[in-house]
Amino acid sequence: MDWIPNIFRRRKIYDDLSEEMQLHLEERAEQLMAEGLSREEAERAARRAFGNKTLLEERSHLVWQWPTLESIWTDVRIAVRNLRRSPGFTIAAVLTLALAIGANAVVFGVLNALILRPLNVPDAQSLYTIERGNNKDQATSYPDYLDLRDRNRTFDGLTAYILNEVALDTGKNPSEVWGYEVTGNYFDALKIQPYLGRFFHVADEHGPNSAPYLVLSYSYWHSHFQDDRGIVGRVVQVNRHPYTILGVAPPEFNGTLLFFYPDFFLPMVNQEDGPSFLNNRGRRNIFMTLGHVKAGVTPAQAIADLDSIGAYLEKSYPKDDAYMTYSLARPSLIGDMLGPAVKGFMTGLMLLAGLILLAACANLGSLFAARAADRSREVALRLALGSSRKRILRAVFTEALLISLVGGVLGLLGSVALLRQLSIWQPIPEYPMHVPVYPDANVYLVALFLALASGFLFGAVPVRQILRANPYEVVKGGSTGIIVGNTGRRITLRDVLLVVQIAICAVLVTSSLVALRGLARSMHSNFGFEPKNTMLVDTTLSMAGYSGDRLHAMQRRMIDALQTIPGVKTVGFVSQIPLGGGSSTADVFTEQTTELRTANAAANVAVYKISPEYFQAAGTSLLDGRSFSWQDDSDSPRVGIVNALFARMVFGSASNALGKYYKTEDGARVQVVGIAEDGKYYQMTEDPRPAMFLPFLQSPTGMTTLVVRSERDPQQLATAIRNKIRGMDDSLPMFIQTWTRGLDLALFPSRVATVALGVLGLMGAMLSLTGIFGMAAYSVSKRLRELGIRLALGAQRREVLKAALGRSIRLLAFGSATGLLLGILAARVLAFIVYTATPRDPLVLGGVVLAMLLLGLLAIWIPAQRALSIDPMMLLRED
Amino acid sequence: MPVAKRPMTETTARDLFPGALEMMILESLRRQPAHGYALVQHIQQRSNNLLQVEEGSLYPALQRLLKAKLVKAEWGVSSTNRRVRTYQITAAGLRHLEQQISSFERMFEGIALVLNPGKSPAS
Repeated sequence: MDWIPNIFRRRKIYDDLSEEMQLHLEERAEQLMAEGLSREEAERAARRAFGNKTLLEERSHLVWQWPTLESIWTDVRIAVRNLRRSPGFTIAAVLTLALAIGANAVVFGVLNALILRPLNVPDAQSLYTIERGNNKDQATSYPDYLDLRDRNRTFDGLTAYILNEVALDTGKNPSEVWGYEVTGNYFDALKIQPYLGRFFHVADEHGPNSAPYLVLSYSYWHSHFQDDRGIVGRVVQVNRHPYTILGVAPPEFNGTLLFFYPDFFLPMVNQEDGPSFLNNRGRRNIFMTLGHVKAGVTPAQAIADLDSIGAYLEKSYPKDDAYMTYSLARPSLIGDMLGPAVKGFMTGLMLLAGLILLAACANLGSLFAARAADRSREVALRLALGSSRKRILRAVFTEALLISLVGGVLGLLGSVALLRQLSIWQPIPEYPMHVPVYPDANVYLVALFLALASGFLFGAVPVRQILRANPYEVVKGGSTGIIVGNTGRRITLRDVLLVVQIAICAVLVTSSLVALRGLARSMHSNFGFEPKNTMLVDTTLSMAGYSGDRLHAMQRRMIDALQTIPGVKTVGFVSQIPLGGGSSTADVFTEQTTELRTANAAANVAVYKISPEYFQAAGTSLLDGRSFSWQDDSDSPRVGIVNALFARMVFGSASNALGKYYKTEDGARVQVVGIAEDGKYYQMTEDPRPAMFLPFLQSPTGMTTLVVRSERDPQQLATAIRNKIRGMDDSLPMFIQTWTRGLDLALFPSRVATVALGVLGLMGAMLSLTGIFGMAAYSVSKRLRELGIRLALGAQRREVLKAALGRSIRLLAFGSATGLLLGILAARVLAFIVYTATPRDPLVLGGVVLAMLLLGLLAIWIPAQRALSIDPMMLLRED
Repeated sequence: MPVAKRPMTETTARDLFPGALEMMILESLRRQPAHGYALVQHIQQRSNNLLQVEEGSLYPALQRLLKAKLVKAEWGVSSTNRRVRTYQITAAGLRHLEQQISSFERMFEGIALVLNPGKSPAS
């Protein structure tokens, strides 16, 4: 096909032809003149003999096959001219589409990055994480992992890791950094090659604490070592133990979770601090076990293989291993921990965004229909003059597609900018969390497709109108033409579109209000503690080399020291903050149980190790019994405080529990000395869970978060706390924040959901505003003359308004009611993400009605003013 | 008799089978390169004015030949000192012409047989 280069020579070819024909005519005329004709006669005769020059020229052009292209180009030029003639319409239409397509591109971009796009590792398709039991538990103990790794026949190497924070001292200021503790085969099993230096391998490990090696992530190396290639072999301090930097991971590798970027990787066998879990089958410390399924092995075969190992483990280690059945999931969103929730939410969001686009199309469709009706006379004239309906439809679609493409490109540009911003955003500074949603070709393609599809969709609205147009009737019937038949009682396509659009918008407004209200309530609900006026001081003492008696002494000294800060009411500490993202659970048994295995457990409960003042500092109320005292130490009988649910589950009722005994995993008898209120421990949306609190002097922990209750200004308080602790140990890493900030992680999902739904709801509201406005303004302007006559005949203002806008208001009411109903149904889905989100809330229902009412009033205000200000004399004097 | 002549020309033009004009142009150009006007003169003279082709209809045909690269064109100055665009047959044009002529002859033979069933084509 050489028409592509030819198209650029088109002008030249046409000019040559034209000149050639002209010369032909001249030569003929000259010859005829030589034969004796006058110049005039000769020229006329020459033209007659030649034929219709214009027609022949066009036929010659046809030879080159450009006319189709040229007529499309003409259509585009005419469409541009038409659109420029009505800039208000064009800008409104383009902006509407840009917003709608932009919203879709953003939502799809996130969906694409989080769910559709595989993890950025080689052969991601065959990479699975292993989940255990019915509740899809990711956690595994190290001995179980070794059995799974060595006994399976279906995986190309199973690897495992733990998320951990360490104090990293590179000679300058020690800082807390997050990374992975991995098994020796981690990089080999994932087929990752080092960017610099080398990685560690299984052969580097020779039992506990044998491999003090460190691999840095590219971004950490880049930001903290300024790309210094000489760091390979350098020794740094990790939790005050020397480690050798072996190498740097490649830039595109950010671990095996999508949103948590580790700064380093070190072998899991190094457990210098605290009791090692490496030989403890009951301690499921491993965060995730994953590996590539061998080529040719189906997931079902791999599961069967794992299940047979599980059966073996259950039989061999009945004390520790129960419910050892397995399933596979994708690692990027921690398998089924986040995967289904994210998938469900993003799918829901995509549907809502799709609704936005539909509403926008309905909006533009009715605008286009109105435009076509206004131009019915022009269309009729063109039809009467012999233009084909096809040609006229093509012009309409050209306009529609032009708008949709410009809108689509604008929307895409906006969404790409937003997605890039999202990708570099670190929502919670405490953790290396990322939302890597860089747009790729899929996003561009989807946006383009949506733009074209919506162009065709709203372009198709006036088609029937044009096909049915009868030029004779229109020209005869004056300017109203086609719409004469449509202004009656009949329900028109435009009415239906408006109702659909308003209903969709009401759905969006309802869901965003439900989410907002849910979030507002979850901020003020009872967590089982009071985050206001509380600072959290995170100092993991075990990282700083404290253990045994030194640990307890240091913990006690810190409490005492902070207590002396002016304005501080109470200081307590806890091993892990509830709703702080970490978790620690244990099985508990009734006193009568002799065989302490998981299958016989009375409950699996959350465990918190606390200092005596913790409850007071955290604002957790005791329902019954006493709090711990400093006398509850290792020399006195074991005691515990349980929450109300624990008491009901293990002892039948709360009142029954006080003074009774239960057993922990290690067989110790623990006496219940207090009952605490129930709270939230892992997630905002969780069902109530049993929990127990143990005195830290009887159950030592290296993890220490100090809870400081004070009404002083947080900033000043933080400085004071920092100075105090620096005074005791100036190299102790710490992280100080208010407890309200500390809840960021727990509230993150509801916040994201609320912001997303709020933005969509706002867009829905804007769309319905413009839609109702367009409709009302159009119906007023169409009926100006009629209204003028009514006014002249003595109609009251109220009657005029009713005549002009009654229909719009009825449609608005009908659409809002439908949308509200649908919205209530849709909002049930939300309850899974936003804590306490319920549509059966008078405030929400009232809010939606009020919002739609306000939108309607706002939209109808200007048209109503216009209807009221009609001067009948002016109107009747016109044409 | 202009009234009689116009329809006559049109029928003639329409009755030329597709490709006939192109074939005649190629044949003329094979003898010698020529510009549009000369081609028309040549064809009309050779056909003893039997073919009253509308002069301009030559040009769409020439464009088709140009596009198919069967001829090439060049601006120049004629012997009578006018600016002319001279057409020249290309190698592909020659091949095409030979094919066309042989298929045309076969067709002509066939038509002749149908129209004069008694006569043998050889005689």
